[in-house]
Amino acid sequence: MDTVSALPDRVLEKIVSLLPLNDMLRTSLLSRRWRRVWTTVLAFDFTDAADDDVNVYISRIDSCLEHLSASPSCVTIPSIVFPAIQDSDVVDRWIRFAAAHSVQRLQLAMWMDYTPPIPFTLPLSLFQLCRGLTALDISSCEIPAVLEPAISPAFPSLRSLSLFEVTIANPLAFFAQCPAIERLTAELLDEDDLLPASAFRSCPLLSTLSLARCTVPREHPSAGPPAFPSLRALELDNVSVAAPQSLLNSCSVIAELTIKDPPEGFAFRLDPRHTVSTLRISSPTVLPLSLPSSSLRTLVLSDLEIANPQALIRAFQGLELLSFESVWSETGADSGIQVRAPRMRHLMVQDSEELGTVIVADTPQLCGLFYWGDIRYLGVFDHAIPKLEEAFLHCMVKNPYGGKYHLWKNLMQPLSHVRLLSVNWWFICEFMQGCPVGSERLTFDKLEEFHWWPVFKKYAAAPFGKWYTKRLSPIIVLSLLDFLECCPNIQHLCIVVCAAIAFASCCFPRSVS
Amino acid sequence: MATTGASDGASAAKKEGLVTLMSGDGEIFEVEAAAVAALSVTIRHAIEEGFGDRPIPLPIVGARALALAVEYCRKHHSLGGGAGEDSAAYDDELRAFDHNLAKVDRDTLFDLIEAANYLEIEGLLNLMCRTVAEMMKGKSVEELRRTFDVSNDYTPEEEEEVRREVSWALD
Repeated sequence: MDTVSALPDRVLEKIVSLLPLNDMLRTSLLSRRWRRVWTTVLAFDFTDAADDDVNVYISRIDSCLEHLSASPSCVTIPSIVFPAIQDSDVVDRWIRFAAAHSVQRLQLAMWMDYTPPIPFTLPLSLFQLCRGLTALDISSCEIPAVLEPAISPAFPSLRSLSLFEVTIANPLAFFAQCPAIERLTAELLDEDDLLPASAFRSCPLLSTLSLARCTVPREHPSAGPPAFPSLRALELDNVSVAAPQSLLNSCSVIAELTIKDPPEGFAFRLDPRHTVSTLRISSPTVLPLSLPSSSLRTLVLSDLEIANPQALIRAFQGLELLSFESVWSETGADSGIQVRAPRMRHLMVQDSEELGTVIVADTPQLCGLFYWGDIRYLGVFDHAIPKLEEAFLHCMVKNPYGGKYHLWKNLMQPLSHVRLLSVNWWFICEFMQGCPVGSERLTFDKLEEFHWWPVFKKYAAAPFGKWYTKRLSPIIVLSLLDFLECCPNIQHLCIVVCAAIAFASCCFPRSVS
Repeated sequence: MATTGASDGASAAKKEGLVTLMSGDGEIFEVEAAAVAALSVTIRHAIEEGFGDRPIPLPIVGARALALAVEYCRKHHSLGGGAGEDSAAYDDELRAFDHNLAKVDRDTLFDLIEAANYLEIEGLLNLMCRTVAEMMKGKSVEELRRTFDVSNDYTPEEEEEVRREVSWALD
């Protein structure tokens, strides 16, 4: 026998299981030895059988299932992915197949070809036959109000549940079927679809909850307060919450809170009672922020207006990571922010000039500084960053200091001990225009790695191919070499020719530079 | 490459922390017990069963495959602490090592798969199976038969039947 066919069954099964469905089926034609190998595979993704014609798609899957059912070597299939075909009878047939093969992880995957979504009703067989499920992922369907499980709860071992573009006719009845879930991701079909917080009272082990496009309504007091005793991470993306404060107060051990695109008027306060250590807020609206200064370690703010930057600064005391992206403030340029944070290790600022100048004033532990915007809105105090290792300073203005070397030096002097420096066009351009010769030059004696992007626009890509070849004149190249002479310990030079498209990096050994 | 012990390895003085392996073709390997035991279930069991001071016979594993398998264990033990590919410890150096190992010739590839399967080195087996799967992807049945020298033992009637069953997958 040839070498591959001589391999033990277990190994052949392993190899075949790594193939897409059509390649898998093709192996059955190789020889008799291979006839049934594919039927021993333990995980199938039937979305590989896709065809523009839905009936062809269904018949391909049905034919696979028929052969699997007929094969004595196919006993259990722990993991199965079916497309969410909008036909209850077909899906019912498939669920029955999965249940007969002791499925544990079942996915009804979003089917790209159908528009608009008209959810089909999820067959009740799911609730009657699939008690062994540990992970369930369903898309584009309606979960009926009456579930009629054979034994309640229908999914006693379900740990992970994911719902996408789903409507849930009776959330209380549905979540009562999955009392052991730890991770839930739910994006409903319509943002007005209701998902009452009291529905989760039957899921006390829930530790990660991501809700998108739904409404958490105000409930009658008789429903009792919401309770999330194990919830550690909560994400709300475009979710209307009638009583956000009460929701948050019911999460007694929450560590991570992410809020994206909240509706108008969404307001909450974090106070020392809350255990949140990571807070991410991304929103086009103003957030009246009040942050607990003691527990917060990571703060990521994007696309939002900060009503009161001075109040925010008080939260910096415990922060280890702070990121601003497209953040602004009404008070604008005349206010600015001074970052004084004893524990901060990473600071990132992107496109946030309208916040005013960001001054790194006193951050003794800072090891990474990332700035993307108009570099004139960044200031660094002397001795503010003794432990800085890596600095990324990318300016969106071509010639920010107009060749005034002392301004360039003012910014760079406190940063001159970094190990890695990544900059774009402005850096060498300003250096070239204003740099004096000799001892007045700033030296970067710890710099080992220098990355230079010879473009100045953030999303500079293919069209700039021409632009930079014109600009990389001998003078610029000589200036780059001049700058490298200020870096006695440089080991790596990386010139990034095209943002996000292609990298051309040249790594010089020390002797070359 | 693995250090090959003296040819009279069986009688060589035992050093602390070493274990002796004997390939199917009689070659002796003295290797660090901790590294191979951490990655190979078979050798771990052999040591636990008291094979520690005698050469462990590995009848179906050839010397060349055994040398490569031992090198794999060493590398993954010292760099990744035996961690799998999903772990953070799976760094660039290990990735490069695995990538190079997967480039062995066809015969060595299958010898390595047999060795990894026999020695129960899960990471090595996965790596090599993935390599074979990559070679199989997108190939027609005829190309597959040619690539792996598989001789077709179906009768024309049987082949026609199987062909009908999986017809959509053949285009």
